[in-house]
Amino acid sequence: MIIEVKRLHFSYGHRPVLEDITLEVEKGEVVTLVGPNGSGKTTLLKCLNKILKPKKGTVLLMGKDVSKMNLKELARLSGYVPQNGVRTFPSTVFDIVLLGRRPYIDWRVSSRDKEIVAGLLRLMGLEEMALRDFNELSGGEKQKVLIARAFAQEPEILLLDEPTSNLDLKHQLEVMNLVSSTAKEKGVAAIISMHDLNLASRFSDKMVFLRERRIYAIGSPEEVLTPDNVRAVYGVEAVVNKDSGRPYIIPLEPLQASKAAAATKTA
Amino acid sequence: MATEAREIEFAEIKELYTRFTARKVVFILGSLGALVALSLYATTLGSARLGIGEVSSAVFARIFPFAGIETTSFADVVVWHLRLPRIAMGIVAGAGLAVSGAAMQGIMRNPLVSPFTIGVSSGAALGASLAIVLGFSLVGAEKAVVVTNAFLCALLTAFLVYGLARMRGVTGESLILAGIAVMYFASAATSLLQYLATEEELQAVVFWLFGSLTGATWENVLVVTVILFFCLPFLMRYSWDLNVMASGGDEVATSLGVNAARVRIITLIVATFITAGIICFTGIIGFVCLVAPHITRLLIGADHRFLFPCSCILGAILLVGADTVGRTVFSPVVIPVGIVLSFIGVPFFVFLLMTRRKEYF
Amino acid sequence: MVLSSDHAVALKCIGVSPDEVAGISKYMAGDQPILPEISKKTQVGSSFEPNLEKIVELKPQVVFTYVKWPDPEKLERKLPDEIRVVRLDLYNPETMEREIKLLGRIFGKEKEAEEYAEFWFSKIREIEEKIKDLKEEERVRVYYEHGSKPYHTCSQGSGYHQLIEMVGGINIARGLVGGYPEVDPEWVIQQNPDVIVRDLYEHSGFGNPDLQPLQEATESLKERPGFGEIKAVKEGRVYTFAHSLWGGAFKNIGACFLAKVFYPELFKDLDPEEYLRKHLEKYLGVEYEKVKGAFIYPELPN
Repeated sequence: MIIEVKRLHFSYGHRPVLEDITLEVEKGEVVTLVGPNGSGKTTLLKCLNKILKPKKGTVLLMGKDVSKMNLKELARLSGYVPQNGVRTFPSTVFDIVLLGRRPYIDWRVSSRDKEIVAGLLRLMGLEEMALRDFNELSGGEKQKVLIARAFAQEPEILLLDEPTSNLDLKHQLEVMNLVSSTAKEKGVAAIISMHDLNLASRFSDKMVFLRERRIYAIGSPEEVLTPDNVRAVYGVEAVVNKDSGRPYIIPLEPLQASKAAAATKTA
Repeated sequence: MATEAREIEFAEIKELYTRFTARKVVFILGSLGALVALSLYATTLGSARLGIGEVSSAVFARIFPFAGIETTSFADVVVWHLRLPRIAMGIVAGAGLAVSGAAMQGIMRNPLVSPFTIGVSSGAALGASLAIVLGFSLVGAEKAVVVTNAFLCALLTAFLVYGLARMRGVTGESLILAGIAVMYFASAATSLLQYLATEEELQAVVFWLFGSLTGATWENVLVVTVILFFCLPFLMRYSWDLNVMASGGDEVATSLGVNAARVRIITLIVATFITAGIICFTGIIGFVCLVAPHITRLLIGADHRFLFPCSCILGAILLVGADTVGRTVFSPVVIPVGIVLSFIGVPFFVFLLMTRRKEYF
Repeated sequence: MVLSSDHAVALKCIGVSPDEVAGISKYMAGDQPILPEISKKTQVGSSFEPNLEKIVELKPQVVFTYVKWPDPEKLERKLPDEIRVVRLDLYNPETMEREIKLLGRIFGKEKEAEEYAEFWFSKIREIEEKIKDLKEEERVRVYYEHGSKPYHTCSQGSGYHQLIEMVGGINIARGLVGGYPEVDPEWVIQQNPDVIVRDLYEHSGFGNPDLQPLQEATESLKERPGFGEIKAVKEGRVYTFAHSLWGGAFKNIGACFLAKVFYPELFKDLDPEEYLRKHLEKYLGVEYEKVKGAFIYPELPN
């Protein structure tokens, strides 16, 4: 077991955001967090690497309590890819990826550091952009650079916050392929928040449905990607097609009644 | 450009980057050489008509006291008491202001920020005005009332800004907003003092606000040098952390093992300390803080490992250059360095901005 | 209603009663030793920023102020027509005589004004007469410096330059740009002036016997790096003056002090203090011993 989340609660001030989250992730597993906006996907990711501090509960990373690790130690175990890269001061792609080596570098950049970065740029097909300014890249290229930075941390787990939201079809597939193949080859666990249920279904070993601060369903895509779950979590009527191996959903219509029900429930 | 090479090999990328950093080092060494050359040249310029020979024998007579080099006491005074302290002050002040500007911009991820944004200058101005107009001082050091008052008020103002920003979480925005609020308040207080001042006091306040290197002495230079000696390694040590912080938000910094809040407060204190330590002697010289780091970024990029030393050198070049122009162009009349700085710095900056907008090395 | 002390002094000296003054500028307020009654009148702002409501409330017939200050927008354009504004400089020797006489006409004191103008210019004429024959090389070369702004001097077009040259000095900064430029220290050393005079603004002289600020201004200048080389410093001819002698209504006195500093031999018989005593006692009606203070450091050569 590489990650164990036990009865985790989190709130912003007095507003609870996550309640009673319990989750286990294995080495090499790709886990996607799905659920409507505001269901707590991003917050859960940030609780896993100390960006946010849970109110209750524990997060164990390789058996160690995350809240007791120092940041540098944690940064060697866990790589994080934020939702969208902010505009930075002019900085080359190589320099940005090199920052992933920060947890290992004291002052001098070693030859090995440079080799790791060079290797990642090649893996990502970014070698021609090595000395280009990061700000000039396209959205897909930027996303790849940020993923490369997380890889450069040589982490045991990867946390990706909606890595495909702003990408075109080709980049979406490329990015997800990279993440899942790395997970399989290196035994890295990847936890990814996502909106696209079909993409999630295709690439994940485990899907976690979050609804109103809690885990609603958890399991393999075949188990949990059902019309019932989609209706309950998203309030959308959908059909699920299983012809192509993995379940594939076609959304039909938002449910007025269930929306109203959900509204009264929260009130 | 890299586009020509279709197939770039693994080792090539590494090599490319190694050369890329080597070029930065070469650039830094080159600009250091330029600074030395400029300083030497500036030593030969001035209102007193001294030949290069006279100046150099005056210089070497002190450096090699037993070499028996002959010099006049006039040349000695001009070179060692008037020109060199001024140039030395230009170097240390330019370097210090530039590096603190670079640090502040890095931690705030905002290119418009400088120590002046968080009220250091308005605090210093208020402190100096209090001393000049009301004769009020925080500590009673007879001779240096204005200097100590300016220094302490600058620090107090910065901490007040920091304290206010803390109430809402120290982010770039909260610091800048608190800084602007406090800055307006301190400026209003300074204006009120100016209004209450007699004509004489008003003149002294305005003179102080202008900023000038005229008052430079070896003692002042020594104080600033000591401050830099202790503060620069601090900033350099945080180069990597600042790179991380400048490249993304605090969350990314955390995920890369950097305690952003702590780095920010320490950097803030160090930058404030440097700036206050300089402007209490020179008056308000703000432009270097803002523009030297920008010029450096345009020339060698935003990697703080190189940005810090290079900003120091370019800041020094800017300030020494501007002051030399200021004291020679209408010689013997001296134009305040702040004015010249803008006249020289702005066109240079705009030129760089226009010509190198997209590429960085 | 007067907006400057220069005007107040002139009014008093031509015999206008203090009762006729309704308001004064804020810089004159308090207990000014040379104008004891007038300085207690109501304040109406300054000559830069007059308080119009106060002025209107006091209903003066005339407001006296400088030619350039304040802007008409801040004064006559806003005042009702029955309050007239008279703009006189009363600090510039070139126009002084005419202006004093004009004041006399306004107040019906032509004779007194005539006499005061005569008195005001008497010593200046003497001085001008004596220096007239000085050859260029006999004249002293003078460096003027502002009391609290190091290396700020005065050049052509400034009142101080005018005063220095009026009594026969050569202002070494005469040809420089700007009225009050900052100069390079090394230039001052190389110019090697015969006399250095400093003007200490915050020290009014009158009623202030504290010699120390003047002394400090003189001594600190001598200690500057390289200034030991300057002739004026070597010969002890660095003088700091209280500001009241440099400008305005007492320029006539200042001229005497400067003349003695520049040419002690030539003006052996000139006694500026005696002249000042007369100005104060006869025209301003105050006791010299009571209002005299520290005017100059070091003492005048004799």
